[in-house]
Amino acid sequence: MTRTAFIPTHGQATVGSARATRSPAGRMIFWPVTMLILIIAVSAFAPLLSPWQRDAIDLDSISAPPSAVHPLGTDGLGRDVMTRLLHGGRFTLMVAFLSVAVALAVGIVLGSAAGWIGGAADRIVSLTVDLFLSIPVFLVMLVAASAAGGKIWLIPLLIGGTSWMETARIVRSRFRQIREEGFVEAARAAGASGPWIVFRHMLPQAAGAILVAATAGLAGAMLVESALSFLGFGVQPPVPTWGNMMHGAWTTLRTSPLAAFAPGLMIFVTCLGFNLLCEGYRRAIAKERGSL
Amino acid sequence: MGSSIIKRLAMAVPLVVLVSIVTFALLHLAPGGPAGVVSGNPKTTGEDTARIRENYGFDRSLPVQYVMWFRQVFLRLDFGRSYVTGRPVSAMIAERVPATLELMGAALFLAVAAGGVLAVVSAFRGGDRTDGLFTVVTTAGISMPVFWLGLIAIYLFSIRLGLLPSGGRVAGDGASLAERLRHLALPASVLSIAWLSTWSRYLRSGLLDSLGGRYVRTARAKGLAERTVVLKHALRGAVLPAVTVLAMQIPALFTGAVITETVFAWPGMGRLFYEGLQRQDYTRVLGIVVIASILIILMNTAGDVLNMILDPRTRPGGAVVRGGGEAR
Repeated sequence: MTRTAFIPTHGQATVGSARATRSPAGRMIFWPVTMLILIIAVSAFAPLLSPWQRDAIDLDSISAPPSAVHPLGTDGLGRDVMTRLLHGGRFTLMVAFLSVAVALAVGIVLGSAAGWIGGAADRIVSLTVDLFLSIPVFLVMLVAASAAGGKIWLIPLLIGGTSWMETARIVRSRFRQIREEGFVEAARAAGASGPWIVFRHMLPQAAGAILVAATAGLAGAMLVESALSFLGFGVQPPVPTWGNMMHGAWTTLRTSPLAAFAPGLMIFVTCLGFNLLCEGYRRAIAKERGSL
Repeated sequence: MGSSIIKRLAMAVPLVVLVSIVTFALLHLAPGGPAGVVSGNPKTTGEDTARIRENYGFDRSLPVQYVMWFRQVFLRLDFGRSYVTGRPVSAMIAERVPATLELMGAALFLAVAAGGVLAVVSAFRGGDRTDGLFTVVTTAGISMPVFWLGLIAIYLFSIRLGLLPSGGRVAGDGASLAERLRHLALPASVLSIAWLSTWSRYLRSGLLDSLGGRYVRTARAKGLAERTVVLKHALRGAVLPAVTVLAMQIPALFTGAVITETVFAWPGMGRLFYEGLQRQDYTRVLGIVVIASILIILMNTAGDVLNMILDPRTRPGGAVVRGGGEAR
C-alpha cells in the first residue's frame, strides 16, 4: 500500500540550501542558523573552552575589569564572567529546549483531543486556553517558582505548562480542517486506531506550523526563564544561567558593567536568532503555500 | 452589545476565584508556609507559635482556610493585613495602583504612537524595500530581555550621560510636570519596546493587506488625496486586528511591569508584589494576584468594547456582511 499517495505534500516546506540563500526568506534563515549553531556548539563544549572552573572564585580580582587572565572581567564574587557565560549558555539553552518540549507535549495532546474528538473535549480545551490567556501568568509563575524553592527541573515544567496554548491552537485548527479528508477516512477504513491516525497521519500535516511555533517558543521560554532567574526565583546559583548572572546586576552596574551586559547580550542575540529563524521559516511556508 | 459584555464579566468571576485558589495553594505549599513567616522570630516559644497559628487560623485545614480568606475578600472586600508591615493590604495596593497605571498608560501611549508612525511610514513610503529592515528591527524589539534593556538605559542615560534619573517616581503637589516626565521617560520607553514591536508588525501587515482591498481602490478611484486614503481608509481597516492583538498582550504588560518597576525602583504594584514575594508576605501577594486578574479582565473587556465600536460586524445583531470581502 502506498500511503504517501494520500498525503498532500503542501505545508511541508523544504528549505533547500541552494534555493534558500537566494530567496529573501532564505537569507533571513541563513544568518540566524549560523549564529545559533555557533552559540549551541560553544555552549556544548563549554568545559573545554572556558579558561576557569565554573564556580572558581578569584579573591584577588573581585569585580575586575577585563584583563588577560579574565577576558571579560569578574563578577562581584570574583568568578570569571567569560567562564560563567559559556557554562550559562548550556543551562539556559537546556531549560529553553526542555520547556518547549513540555509545551509541545501538552499542546499536541490537548490540541489533538480538541480537534480530533471535538464536542465536550473541544469546549474544555478552548476554555482552558482562554483561562491561561487571561490571567497574570507571570505573577502566578513567580509564586510557583518561589514555592518550588529553586528546584531546577521544575522551571521547564512551569514554563512549558504555561506556554502550550499556541501549539494546542495550531493542532486543533489543522485537525479540524483535515479531519474529514480522504487520507484520514482511508486510514480509518483500513482499521487504524484513533491514536495511530492522529500521530501517524494527521500530526505530520501540522508539523510545519508546530515547528514555527516551537522556534518562537524557544525565544519565549528563554525570556521567561531569564526574567525569573534575574528576579532571583528561577534557576538558583551556583548553577549559572544568563538570567541569574544578571541577578542583582543593578547594584554593580557602576563597578562592573560588563558583568551586567554580557549575559543579557547573549540572551538577546540567541532570542533574535530563534525569532528570525521562526520568521524566515514562516515566510518559506507561506511562499510554498502561495505558489501551489 | 451590552449582553455579551455582561456574559464576559460573569465568566470573569469563576476565573478570578480559580486563580486565587491556585495561588493560595501554591503559597501554602512553599517551605515554611505563611505560618512559618509569622512565627519566624527566633524568640517565639512553642506556646506563642501555637497561639499565632490559632489566631491566624493556620491550625485549620487548607480548604477551611481558603474559605475563610474567600469570605473575607469577596464578601467583605477586605484583603487582610500584611504579615510584614501590619498595614491593610488594600491600602498598600491602592497606594501603588496609580503608579502602575501611569507607567502602563505612558508605555501604551508610546507604543501606539511610535509604533503607528513606524508602521505607516514603512508600509507606505518604503514598500518592499524596507521590509527586511522593518522585520529585523521589530524582531529585535521582541527578542530583548526587558531587564537588560533597562540596565543599558540606566547605564547610558543616567550613569554615563547624566541626563535622566536612574529610578524612582515623583508625585504629589510639589512635583512639576517636567520632573515627573523625566522620571517616567526611561521606564516607560523600556516597557513600551516589546509592545511597540508587536503592535507595529500587526498594524503594518494589516495596512499592506488593506492596500490591496477594494475599498482602498475605490477611495483612490474617487480621486481622494493619497494622504486621506492612507489615514482615513486604509488605516481604519488595519487598526482593527491590531487592537485585538494589543488587548491580548495585556497580561504580558504585567510581566514587563514587575521587571521594569524592579529595575527602575518604580513604586508600583509590580514592585510591591516582588518585594512581597521576597519577604513571603502572603496576604499581599494573594491580594495583588487577585487585583491584577481583575484589572486584566477589565482591560480585555475594554478592548472588546473598543473593537465593537470600531467594527460593526462584531456587534451581535449588527450588520453582518461576512464573506463580503469588503475589509479583506
